[in-house]
Amino acid sequence: MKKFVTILFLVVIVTGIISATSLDFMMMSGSGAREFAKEAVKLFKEETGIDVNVEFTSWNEGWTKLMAMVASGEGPDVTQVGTTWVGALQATGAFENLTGDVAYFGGSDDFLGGPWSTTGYDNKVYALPWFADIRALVYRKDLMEKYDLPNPPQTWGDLLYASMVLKEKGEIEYPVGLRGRGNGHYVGSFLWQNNTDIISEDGEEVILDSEKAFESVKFWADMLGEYELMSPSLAEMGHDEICVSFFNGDVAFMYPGPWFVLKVESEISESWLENDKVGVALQPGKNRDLRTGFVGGSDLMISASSDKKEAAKKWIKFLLEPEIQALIAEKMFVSPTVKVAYEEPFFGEEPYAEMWTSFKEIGNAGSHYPIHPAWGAMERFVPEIIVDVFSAHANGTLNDAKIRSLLEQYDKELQNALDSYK
Amino acid sequence: MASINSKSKSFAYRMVLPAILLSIIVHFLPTIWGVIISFRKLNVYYISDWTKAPFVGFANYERAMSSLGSVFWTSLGYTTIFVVLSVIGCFLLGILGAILLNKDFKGRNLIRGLLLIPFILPGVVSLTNIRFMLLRDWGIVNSLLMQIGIIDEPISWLTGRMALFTIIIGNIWIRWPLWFITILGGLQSIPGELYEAAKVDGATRWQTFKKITLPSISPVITILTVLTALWSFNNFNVPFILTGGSPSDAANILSLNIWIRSFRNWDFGMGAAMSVVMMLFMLILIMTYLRLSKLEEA
Repeated sequence: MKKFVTILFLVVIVTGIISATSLDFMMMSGSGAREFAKEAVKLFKEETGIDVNVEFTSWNEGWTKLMAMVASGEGPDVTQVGTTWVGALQATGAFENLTGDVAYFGGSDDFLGGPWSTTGYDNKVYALPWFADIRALVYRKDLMEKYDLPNPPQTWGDLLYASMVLKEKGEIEYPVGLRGRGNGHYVGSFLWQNNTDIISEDGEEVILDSEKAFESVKFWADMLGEYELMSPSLAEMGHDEICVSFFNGDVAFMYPGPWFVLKVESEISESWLENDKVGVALQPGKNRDLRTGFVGGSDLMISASSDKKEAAKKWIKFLLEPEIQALIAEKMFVSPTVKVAYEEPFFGEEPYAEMWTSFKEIGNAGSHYPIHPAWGAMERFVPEIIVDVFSAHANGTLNDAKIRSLLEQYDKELQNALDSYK
Repeated sequence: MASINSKSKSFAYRMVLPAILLSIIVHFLPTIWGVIISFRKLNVYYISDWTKAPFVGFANYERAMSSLGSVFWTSLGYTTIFVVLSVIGCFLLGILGAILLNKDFKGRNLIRGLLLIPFILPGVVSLTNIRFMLLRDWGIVNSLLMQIGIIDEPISWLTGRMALFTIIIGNIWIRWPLWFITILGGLQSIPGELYEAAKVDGATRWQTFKKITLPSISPVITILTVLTALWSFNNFNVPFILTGGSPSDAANILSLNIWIRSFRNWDFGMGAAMSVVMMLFMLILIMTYLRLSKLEEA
């Protein structure tokens, strides 16, 4: 009996130790994610003695897993989430309110403004910005100089003119590369670049049926249909294929994040940057005052049901340290959210130094979809607009009337999703 | 004797009990739960405790069928075309393959084996290959068609209305070998004397096919038709893989549409309502299948 009690006691102690020093973290897979996680977990363990079990998932599966977690109340202690998910996840009540802990993580002033705006709604903080996905205009600087074109294109007119010249000169048949499926995020960017949005300022009404929204969608739809500046095969492409096309010389303008350099062999991207063939700039606006682009990225949230909240907060604080922000930028080519991180030596390394400086500036002028509890249910409709425009083009039915009817249809769908929260 | 009968019956019941219990857990309970959800406003805000999702009566059904969800009727229309053309394609290829390979020639067994490859391969492998072959700029199909001068401009097989045609091709490709092998089995069970008698009577090839072959294999074809219709009606993999999960309207068939509505738009209530309507259509097909099976037995 004595022996049994001793063994039981030991088991309880060992289990307690294991659970106290082990943390579950769900991370989205992507280029360099595993290398980063391996190194970060090792450093964190050395610093705190806490072990982190990283579970990788894809962006597509991530949401389903989060829903299962919300439904069951069981899941990882810390989760990486898309910035556009924060509002909906906050509304589920399944995540920890971190408003009182902001000072522990360095305070709001330590973060870039754009990413900080994604931390929650109603002045509450439920998510900490981990890294930013800043979408810039990445373009062929050498071709702009060769043909004396606006460098960089600052307005829609500049972009259209430069693309037409490149096409006319026989340089590139389809100079503009905007993805035709998945989360292109440019639907939002073109709206913001025309001083409008998807939801009205009071958050009550969807305004996709407005004249400005029509102008915005018509602009990029015309680059596909009317002016043939975008290839119909973009309908089958994601960012990877477009970035490869860019470095193959088949695309002159695209809207990616800093990770575009990872999509080809580093020798190629580095040589292009060294030879000043690539320019990185804030996306053009309808006029110069309206230049902006999508800034999203990833935030970190703690499960409300976690029994290791203190360890979870330590892990998040660790991930926000400047050296770790530099490490993730080095492995995944994503932008830090913590201002001071840009002073790390990595961001001064050539040939990337100028690119990082540009992305930091662009991040400050970026825009984001609303952090609204209903946005999660609305977000999915946005890329469907892209699919429908490309489909209409393939069917030969893309015209102004079609664009208007699509926007009316999505206005209704989105309003319905918005109302579902009320 | 009676006790033996009752013993064997009891044994039989005990044997099927685990299957029945599993069916209840895996099929019946989720179905009932799905029907309950279809009457509730279950979305992301209530998923942590679905019992708190407000009861909304038939509102989800109304939304699904209303102008807002006109997508449902469009989707149902395309699903019907998808099912009908898939069955016709499988029938034509299956019967042609079976008749040709029912003849005795050298290498017949090898060809029979090769034709079964699409059925043996995991669907995702076949479909991913088809997707690559049909890419607009880089796909081999457009490249070949342009080289031999059939088309001047590449075709967008995976976009717009053409996407419907593409998912039908993909569906036929992974299903027709089952038709082929089953019909071949049916053909081989037809007594050779019947054909000899027809020959003696001076019947033409068409008459022989119409009067002997077709009636002999019609039971097999009927069952295959119902099964293929059923499997196509609730098919998810084919449009999902071929369109990369971002289907144009024409390829947004019902099962994919329901998945998008539920798991991308997070409108579980409306997704469940659409599933219930789909289930009713499926029940019609299943009843047809059961009735035909009974007729065959009779």
